[in-house]
Amino acid sequence: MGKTIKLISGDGEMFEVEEAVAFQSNIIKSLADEDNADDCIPLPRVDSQILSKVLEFCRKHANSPSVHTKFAAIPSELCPKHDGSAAGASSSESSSAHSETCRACYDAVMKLVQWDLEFVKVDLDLIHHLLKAANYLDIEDLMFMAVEGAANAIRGNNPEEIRKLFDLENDFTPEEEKEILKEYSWLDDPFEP
Amino acid sequence: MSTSWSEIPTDLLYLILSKLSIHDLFCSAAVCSHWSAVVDKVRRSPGDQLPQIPWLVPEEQFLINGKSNNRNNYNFFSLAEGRVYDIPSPSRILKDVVGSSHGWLITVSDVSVQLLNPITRAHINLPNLPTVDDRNLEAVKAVLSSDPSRGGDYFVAFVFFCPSTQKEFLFFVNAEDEKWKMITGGDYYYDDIAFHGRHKSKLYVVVGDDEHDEVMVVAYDLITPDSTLTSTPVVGLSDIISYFDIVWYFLCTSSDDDLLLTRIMTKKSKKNIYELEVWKIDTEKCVISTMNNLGEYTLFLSAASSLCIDTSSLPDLKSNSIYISIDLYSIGISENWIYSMEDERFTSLSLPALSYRKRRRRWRRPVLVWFAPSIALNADPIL
Repeated sequence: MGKTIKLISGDGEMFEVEEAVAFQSNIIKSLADEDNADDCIPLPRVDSQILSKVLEFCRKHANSPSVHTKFAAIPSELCPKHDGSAAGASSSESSSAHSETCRACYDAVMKLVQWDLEFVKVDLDLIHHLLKAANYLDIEDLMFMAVEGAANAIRGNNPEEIRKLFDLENDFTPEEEKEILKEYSWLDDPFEP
Repeated sequence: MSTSWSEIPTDLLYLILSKLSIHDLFCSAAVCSHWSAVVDKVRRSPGDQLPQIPWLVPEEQFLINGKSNNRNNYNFFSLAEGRVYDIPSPSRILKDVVGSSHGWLITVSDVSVQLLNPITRAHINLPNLPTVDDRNLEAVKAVLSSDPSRGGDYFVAFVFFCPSTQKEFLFFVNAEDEKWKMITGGDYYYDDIAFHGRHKSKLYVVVGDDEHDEVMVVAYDLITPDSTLTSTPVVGLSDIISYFDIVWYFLCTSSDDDLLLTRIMTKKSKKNIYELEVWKIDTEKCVISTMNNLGEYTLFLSAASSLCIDTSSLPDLKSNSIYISIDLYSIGISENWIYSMEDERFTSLSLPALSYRKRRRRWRRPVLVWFAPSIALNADPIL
């Protein structure tokens, strides 16, 4: 095991993880840089249940390219097939050309995206917590997937169904509601061909 | 720690709602006042808006399934959702669609020309159709240089056909102009036109002559101090195989400002789309190069409009593909295809809402136009 980082959740639980996992969080990374190597990093705003989910995500994403674009510009050094024989592959142009043509990299990214999508197919409460944690800890990929998870919960539902899912109240006045229905009536007006 | 979604910070809700397609975004606006305000914010921030997966709309006043349209509604088929939207037209007369760009339709009815944004219902009247030597002109295709709702200048360019002389002409108009200005015409045929370039005042034109021995792409800078516009040759295409007797050209610009030219060739007797090629045109170096891979892009080609969509933020849309909806009506076919650049294969694009009903009299299948709806609202909420 390489160098590890100790994290303390809001409810006092200690998590020890590898640097590569913890440093997915830009906040943890900058705190670790400042602090003494022996100290633990306290994360008072994240409780243990959420932190353990966050770390599960980070563990999967350590040493992987970012997946928040569908095709990541994968540097050749990370390509499972090419094994770091990355002669002259440092320019972004050759990186994207590499990922366009390298099937192995493309498959790896797609697999990771699939895992991510399953990971956020959870109840909205958990997504809410993950979203807040990802925002607070500044974890780009988790942020992206939590946003995607929330957006997925909205997709294909009408306003009433969305309100039920997210436990929101309809706080429009009757006039406002009438206006809205008028403006967007074509959205759900069933059309019989 | 509160888990109530009613207390979610606005900037996080903004990130979520900006990921949604038109239908879901508008449903979200009807959820509650906070969500409505955030949707409004998304609609006024063009930089954060995702591209929309295109819809199809009939060129002429037919319903999407070929029946004649007695209502005052435009019919749109949403590719992503596989359903039809029926959107009321702001005017009493339904017009023909001759082009679509930046979320607007360019429509013509009789002699009147209009820009229409079906989503916001905004419409802009343009000058009536021009004539050449007192002869009437028919609109073939039109393009718009930028979104008028963003404020600022815009150009509209048309390819016109004169039935009595069988000649084609190019005209354009600037925002607020009262008359159409002729760019050129009478000698050549204009297979396609597109605005391109940072300043969106350069019109690129695919120009051919009668025998199609030679095809050129030329540029017209519509902001010129002189009154006459001259063409700047950009590239020429050689080797048109005369074996094919129907040739289509499609010119489109990507959001990254690449100018792409697609050529589709077929033979009347074969009744099958035969060959497709894509080129990237470097307008500064005046070089044309074959594209074997579109990367993140997917093209949507139809006679009246060609779109290039960046699929990197649209996981539901296949990249490196070309969706084609063309009318080979002259030989009895209206076809919709998906071409995979990777496999170099055409597959039929099934559009479930558009099937014929064979038991009664045959209905005409309408010629379709690709249209990418835009959620954009004017950045200034006062206007």
